Amino acid sequence: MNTRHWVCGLFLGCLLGVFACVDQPQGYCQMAQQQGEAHFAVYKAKVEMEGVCEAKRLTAERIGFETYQLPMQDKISIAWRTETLQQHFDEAMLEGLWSPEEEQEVSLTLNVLADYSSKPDEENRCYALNNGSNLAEPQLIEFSKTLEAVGSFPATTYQYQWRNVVVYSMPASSGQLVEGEVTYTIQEEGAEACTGEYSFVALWPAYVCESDADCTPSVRGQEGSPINPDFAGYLKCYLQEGEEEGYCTVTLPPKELIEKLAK
Amino acid sequence: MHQTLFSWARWGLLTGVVVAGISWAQSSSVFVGTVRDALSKQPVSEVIVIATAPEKLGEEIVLTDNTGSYRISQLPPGAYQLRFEKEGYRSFEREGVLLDSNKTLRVNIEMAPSEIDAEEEVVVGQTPVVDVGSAAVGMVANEAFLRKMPLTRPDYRPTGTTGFDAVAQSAPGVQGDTYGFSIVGTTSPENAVFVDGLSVSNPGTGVLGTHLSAEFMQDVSVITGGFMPEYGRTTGGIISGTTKSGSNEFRGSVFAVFAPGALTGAAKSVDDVAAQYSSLYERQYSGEFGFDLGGPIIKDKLWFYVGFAPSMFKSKISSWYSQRIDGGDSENPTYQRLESSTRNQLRADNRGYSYIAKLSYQPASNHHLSLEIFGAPSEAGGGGRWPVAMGNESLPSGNAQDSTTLGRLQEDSMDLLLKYAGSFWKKRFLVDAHIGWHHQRDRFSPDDGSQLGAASGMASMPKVWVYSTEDRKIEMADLADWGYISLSEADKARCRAYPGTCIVDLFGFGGRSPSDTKLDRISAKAMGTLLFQGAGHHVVKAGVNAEFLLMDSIVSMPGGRELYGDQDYVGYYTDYRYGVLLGPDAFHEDAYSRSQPKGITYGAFVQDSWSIFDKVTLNVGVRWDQQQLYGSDSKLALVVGNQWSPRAGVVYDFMQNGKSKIFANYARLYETVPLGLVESSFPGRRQGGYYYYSPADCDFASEDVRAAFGNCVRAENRMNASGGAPNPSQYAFAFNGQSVLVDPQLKPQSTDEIVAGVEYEVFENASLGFSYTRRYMNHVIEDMSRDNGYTYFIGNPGFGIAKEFPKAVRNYNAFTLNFRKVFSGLWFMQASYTYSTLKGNYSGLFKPETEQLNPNATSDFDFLVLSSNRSGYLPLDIRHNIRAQVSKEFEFSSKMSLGLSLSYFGLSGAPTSAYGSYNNVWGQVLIAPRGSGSRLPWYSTINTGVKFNVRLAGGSVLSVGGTIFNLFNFRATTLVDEQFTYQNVLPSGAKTPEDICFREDPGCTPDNPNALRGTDGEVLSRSAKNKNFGRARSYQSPISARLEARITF
Repeated sequence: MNTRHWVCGLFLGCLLGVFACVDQPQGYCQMAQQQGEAHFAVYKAKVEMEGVCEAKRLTAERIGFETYQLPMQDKISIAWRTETLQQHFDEAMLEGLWSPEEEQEVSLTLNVLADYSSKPDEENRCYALNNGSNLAEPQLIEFSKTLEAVGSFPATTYQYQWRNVVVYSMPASSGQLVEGEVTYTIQEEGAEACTGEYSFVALWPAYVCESDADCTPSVRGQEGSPINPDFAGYLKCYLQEGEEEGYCTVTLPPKELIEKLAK
Repeated sequence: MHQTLFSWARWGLLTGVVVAGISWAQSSSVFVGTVRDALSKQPVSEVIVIATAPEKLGEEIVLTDNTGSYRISQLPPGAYQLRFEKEGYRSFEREGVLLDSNKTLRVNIEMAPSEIDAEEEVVVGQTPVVDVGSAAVGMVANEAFLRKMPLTRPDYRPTGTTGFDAVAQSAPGVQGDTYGFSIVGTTSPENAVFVDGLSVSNPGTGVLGTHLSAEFMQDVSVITGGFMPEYGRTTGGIISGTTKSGSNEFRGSVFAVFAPGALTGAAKSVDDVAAQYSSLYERQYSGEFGFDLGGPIIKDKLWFYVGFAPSMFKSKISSWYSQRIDGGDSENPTYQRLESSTRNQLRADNRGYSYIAKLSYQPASNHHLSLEIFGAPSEAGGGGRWPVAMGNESLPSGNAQDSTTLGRLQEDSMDLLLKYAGSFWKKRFLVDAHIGWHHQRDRFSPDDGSQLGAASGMASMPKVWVYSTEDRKIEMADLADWGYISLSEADKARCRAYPGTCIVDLFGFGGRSPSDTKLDRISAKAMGTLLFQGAGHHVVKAGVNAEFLLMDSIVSMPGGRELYGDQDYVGYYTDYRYGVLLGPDAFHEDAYSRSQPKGITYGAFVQDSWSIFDKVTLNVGVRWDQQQLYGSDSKLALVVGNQWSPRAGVVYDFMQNGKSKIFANYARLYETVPLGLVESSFPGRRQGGYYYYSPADCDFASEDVRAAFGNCVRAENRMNASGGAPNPSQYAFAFNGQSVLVDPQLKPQSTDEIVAGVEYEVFENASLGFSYTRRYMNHVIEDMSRDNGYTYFIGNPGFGIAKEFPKAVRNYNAFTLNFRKVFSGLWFMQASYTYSTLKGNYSGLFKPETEQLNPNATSDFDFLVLSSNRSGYLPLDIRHNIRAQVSKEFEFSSKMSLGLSLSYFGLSGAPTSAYGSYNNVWGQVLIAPRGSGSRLPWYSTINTGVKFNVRLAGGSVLSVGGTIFNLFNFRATTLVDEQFTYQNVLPSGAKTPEDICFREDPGCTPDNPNALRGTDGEVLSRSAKNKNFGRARSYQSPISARLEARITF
């Protein structure tokens, strides 16, 4: 084969090569987030707090997640905090417990920090990872914080052991569903520590409702909740006992819901 | 592996799948025809056919085949002499056959045997005007048209240059839009614009990038439909300019056009009664002058062509405020002008020049090379003047009395092109190829010239925007006290006496930020054309091409930040900056935002133009393109792939003499996604900042504005803005942190087109045509949010993961009657009438209602909840489009003549709508069905020109004359304020804007479908209505005159 054949063959090979389909890039792991908004998490007990601890059970609360990605870098980190801690912090803030500078410093200590998957796996799952660890290792992310007594809150130590925190990220649902497990310990000053073990499912955004109908997402030209319209039919209003208002949550496990979307 | 590659290569060659380019606008015109014996009527083979023209380098020679047919390809446009010779026959010659760009003309002749007496012979030679080779529709402006017809109307482009694309306004079915020309109902960024076959569109937005002067053009063609596969990557139309070239004779011209303000009618002020602000835009002068010259360097071998044309434009913007004097009656607001005491004047300008330098080389008779460089850089503003951009006439927003909006804008464009055209195998195989580079650089710097990162000057000074709210108004008297506006003591006292009657909607203080955007497109194309016989004649073309798109854009905020006083100016500020959250409440401020998206587009096509037994021409083919776009991190962001474009057309010359055709064509057209989509979404400009409580010493009215800003944004004043939500960041906010996700099943954006019509040569050099054009969208690429704006993704509305969204619809139907008489017998005429409808919910790559230019990322489909009322007559729906242009030359002697021209353009009024805001962004909500408001009035203009021509010694011609635009000084309203309310609202069920009811109206409860409801569902008060709704935002330009002089040699 002479040089002319080589050049010709290479040219045509390149030409035919580009005819091959190129798939859309997968995209980075996403998280639904916005200041002033949060996910709404419903806890399911594996080991429930009993007796004197019953009042401190985890049932449902808002959790705020944020992710951080530096320009030009693949590495993503994640942070979150619970409403339980936020309420204690807010009351201290209102009481003027701290100076403006102290208030900002204390706020930072209420966040759980972890690494975050760069790309979703084949099941559209992204993971909160212990700093520097990989998925082959058990993902236990520990957090502990003691807040001073203020108003209705006694001085309290909050401890969380978060495990298997998974965020579903795909074009049809970018970080709107989160699931995971947590071992929660709360110890108020002068009282026994209470510990429970839970799994949780969180839905974005936390949307206030009085009935299941309130959770119906907006559709074409029809006003509704800002929840992903693909979740329609799998939503309900989660009302705490005796409460008239609650937040919307999903009726299917996130994995099943995402599988339905992926079909 | 080697064997495999070689096998593929052989297969490719055998099947003819490989080869060729696209959009080859140069030397692409064709003569075809048949030569018959005048007595026997039998075809005559081996006839020598010679084509020559002043515009043509050398001569083209072909032989007729055994069917008597010939074809001369790769011809530049021009006035040709065709000569037919064969032993035993009398030679036949036809002069002055006008061949336009991209046209195929049939010239059939009958040759008389030489033994016949001259009296007996009947030599028939046609000078046809009907393009029998294709079903393309549009128009061509040749050099005669460009010189004789007034091109650039004063209200088309504010700059002095006679941009070549202005020819498009003469084509049927075309109208101006904000950024250029809307062709058959599409938007201007969808057009493909070429100069000598090189794309000169802006790679970032799709609008025109090189505003080259029409003075350098040999001709300009506007193709509005019926494309063959060689044309691709546009869902609009094609505007293609062919520059002049040198020839063996020295030819050139010196020219000057000047439109003085003294010959312009009085301008009309635009009064915004809601903002209590009026503005008056007056043109002072515009003009262009320059020269061009072409000729031989080495006769028959090497030629040159050069041209240079500076242009200038200057205008004046006056503004003043008004005082409300109705005592608060919102039903009947009345105002009194404070013109004498608040009048402010700004100068606005643009200075630029067009240039071209071209070398043409013919190393052998069948091979041509050319190398050219051209561009149209401009500079605007600076020194206290408002910068007028080349692309569109943007006026100061908000109010012109804010001097911080001033600055210097430099728009550079430069194009470099190397081309080859050759023929082989006795001209049965033709090759065209080029490699080119389009470069743009747009720079803005504040009026004092301070640059990015400067420690002093406007670039270093933060900007504060403050706007009036219901509760707290910005009083003119305060602004006057602080020295920002002028107000007489008497007016000030009257304003103080009635608080709330002299207010300013929006005012800016502080600095202005520099920006710098570089854009490049490197393109390479190759196309082969094979001519052969088989049940008629075939012209098979095939080509490949590739484009690399590059963007490097730096934007900044003055002093690194912009503050928005969104409560009142002693409340709190929103502090925006470019930057990113590195962690909870760890906002990292960037001095500027840099975005460097890239893209590559590649494609191929094959087509056959098959003249079946020379009765019917069948055009079939297919092209394939793919585009890959990359983010600033150089990672693949988006694939717009598998763009298979089938094309099929049929042309039947029912008279079989080149004088008639019936045609039909189907084409699928795909869009090339501009880099702007990647810039805005992969990721977008990362922004964020903090909210601040405003302490007492945060006083922008202070003389030391920068020190005051420092006081405003002290860390201890940061506001916890989480509202009780457990956000990891309680104080800092950020957005655009991550690239958006893309629907894995994303389909490329495309439109289908069907064109059919008939054209007939009604008398010599004149044709009458009737055509029908239909276009509709298949898939559209847009960004959407499925959760009311919290997260976005890229998809196809109505398909894939965006199936809940309404499908993007844009249906265009048009009937056009077109008459054309080419320049001959000293007169020319072109007239057309188009009736069209344009309906749907998608305008195109920009939103005409808000002028939002974010191709494929407009706010059209952002929110599901706003889907109501979106379908209707689109803003570019012009039902009746009439244009007529006529020119006549009167010869007094062999040395003197007078040229007269007259043109009429008439457009019926566009529909209007009623918009509201959503998420504080105006123009988002269609409160009533789209297009349900009153239509604008007709737009009509009559222009007339006169030129006196004197032939000087040596063959030069001196022309002096002028043009009067808008002879009857029509002053129609061209835009009205369509923002019904600036409040955040939901779509209503009202049928028209007049049906909308308010809280004060009986029975106007939230259940009333006509109720104007806020996003909380509550019915709004009548005071929420924009008092300026329905009032004029702009008027047609007044009568004006332009003087012209030219020496052609």
